[in-house]
Amino acid sequence: MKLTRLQAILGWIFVFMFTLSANGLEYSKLDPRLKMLEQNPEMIRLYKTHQKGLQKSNFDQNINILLKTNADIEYLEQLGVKVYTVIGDIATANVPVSSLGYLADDPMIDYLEAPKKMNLHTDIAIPEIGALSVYQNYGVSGEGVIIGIIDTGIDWRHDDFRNDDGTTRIKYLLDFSFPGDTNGDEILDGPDQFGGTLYTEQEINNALFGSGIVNSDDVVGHGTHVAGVAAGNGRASGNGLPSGQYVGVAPEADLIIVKATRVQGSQSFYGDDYVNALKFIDDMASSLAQPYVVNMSLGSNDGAHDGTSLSEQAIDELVGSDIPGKVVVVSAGNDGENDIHASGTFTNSNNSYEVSFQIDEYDENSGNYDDYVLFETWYDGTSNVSVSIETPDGTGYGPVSRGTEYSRNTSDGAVYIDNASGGKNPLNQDYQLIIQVFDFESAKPPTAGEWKIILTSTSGRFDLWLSTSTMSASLTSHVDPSMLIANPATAFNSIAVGSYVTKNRWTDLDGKTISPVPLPTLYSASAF
Amino acid sequence: MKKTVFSYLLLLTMFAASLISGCRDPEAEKKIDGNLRAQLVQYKQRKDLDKNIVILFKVNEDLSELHHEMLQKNSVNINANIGPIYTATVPAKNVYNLAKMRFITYIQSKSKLNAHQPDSTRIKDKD
Repeated sequence: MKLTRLQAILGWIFVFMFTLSANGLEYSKLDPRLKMLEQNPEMIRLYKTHQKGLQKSNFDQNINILLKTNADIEYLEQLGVKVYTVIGDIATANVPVSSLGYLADDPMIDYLEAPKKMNLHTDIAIPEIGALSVYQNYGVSGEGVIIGIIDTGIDWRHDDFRNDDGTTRIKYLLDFSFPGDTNGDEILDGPDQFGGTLYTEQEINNALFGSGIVNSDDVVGHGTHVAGVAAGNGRASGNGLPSGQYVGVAPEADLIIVKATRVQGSQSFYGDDYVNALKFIDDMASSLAQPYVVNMSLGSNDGAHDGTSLSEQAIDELVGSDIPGKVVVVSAGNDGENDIHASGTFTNSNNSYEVSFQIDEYDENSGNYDDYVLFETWYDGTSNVSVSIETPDGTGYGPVSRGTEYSRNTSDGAVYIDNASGGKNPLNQDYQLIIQVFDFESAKPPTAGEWKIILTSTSGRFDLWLSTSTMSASLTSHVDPSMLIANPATAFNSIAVGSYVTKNRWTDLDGKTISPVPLPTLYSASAF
Repeated sequence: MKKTVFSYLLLLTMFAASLISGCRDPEAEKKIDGNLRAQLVQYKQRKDLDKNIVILFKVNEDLSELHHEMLQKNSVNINANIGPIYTATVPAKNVYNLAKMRFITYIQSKSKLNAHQPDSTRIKDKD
């Protein structure tokens, strides 16, 4: 006789109720999944199928759980509980499956919960890039290596950047934003290297254990995110995640952090500051006699995009194929879908390009020189380009011939053009053309609408970038989606990192499903 | 006679032109990045030439004490160097003096960089 599904379920409920009444355990303190496990320990394999991260511990008969308890750590340890983290009366811990019953029975423990399965960004990325296989096959996970992060700072209290004993993994934290440039003289006013404020490993540990202060944080979160991807050890268990489940690429590396923003909360950096930050990390790693990998997830569209600017050359001085133990990684950028680059090749028959750009309606800033759009153009050292600019109402200014400068305050905003007035650029032997439209007077900001830049020559190639703008602006003709890797990823010796789509819909931490339109194609290149 | 008068006139014109252009030295001009030049123009317009400006500069030899003295005379405050690339602050009015120094081969302004975001963040922002 076959049992119906309903009969089977009723049967299981009967068995369950019988078991409950038979041993008198406090099952109300166990969440249903743990209850199931306590009664059927052989189901541990099923329970653990989601635990595919970089596990180092032996979990054969142990599981990660969350506990609600007011008991102290020593008390819990006597019960066989290995505590990872305590926040208020919630602890994350690792326990033998066999202990679930008596833990539930213990009067000091209010509730035991199985961590919910959640997917984070690194769940696919880590195996996808082969980090898992490197870790498993070669046993390398960053131990003895410095990961340097030049970014918006770090949440130094975060468990992912702490060792098992709670001490910090951060060797040095240098903060350029505190106190920052207090008097506007471009010089940072802190007491330590490059005018920043420096915190050592010892000082951070003192702060972590309540006997010191580290006056630095990451209110933006970008630097913490980047550091987590690069080197998080997964020790944190926020949002119901089991400790040790999701980790960064080098979970055992040491960290040197430079908060390179000059202003708290800013996401902007300057070329000189990152050079200073690189120098700092290089010096500190040398003093520790450790190899390093520096990550910079930042960039700009200034420069010729050919690796010749001084800030790019600084990277090339520091690292390269003939310099062992030093690597600089730079993100390729975010401009793959932005209309900020135009290009063309002049010939006798095609000797003029009208490059249009659109300034959208905007709310002007109140001062002078604070509403502007700036274009940087580079053209061949063999060309002789002249340039004019046309306002939205068709009024033209120029032409400005090679080797000269031009400036005019117009009712549509001030126009400044420097057509290689210094001559050929000695770094790459090309000509550099700067075009800027700005508010010389606050009453005359750049007019919204379609402008034109008219370039004339009979030979050579030009590349024009909309490099900086305080308002929403974009190119509308001769747009070229190539050459959009940002500076300094264009340095010859940096490793420029792009990405591709490994996930095209997901649930965020607020429970909201993100499903972009149009849906990105899996394994297609991201928009860098 | 006519030739001499013409020569004098030419010299006078060149002298006047050099005064108007602020005695600019073409070799020095060449060493200044276009963005920095544009920045200097704005500093001049705003009468801010006494204010500090951040620069990166490249040298073609190891800096001696004499070089450091020359830089100090121009109130150059060096922050760091990686090989021949230096980061520094200098009053805007002294940038041309630096460009005239033979051991300096190029001067660039600081570029502004922005944090790059992962796709997921940008897509959420759009959302």
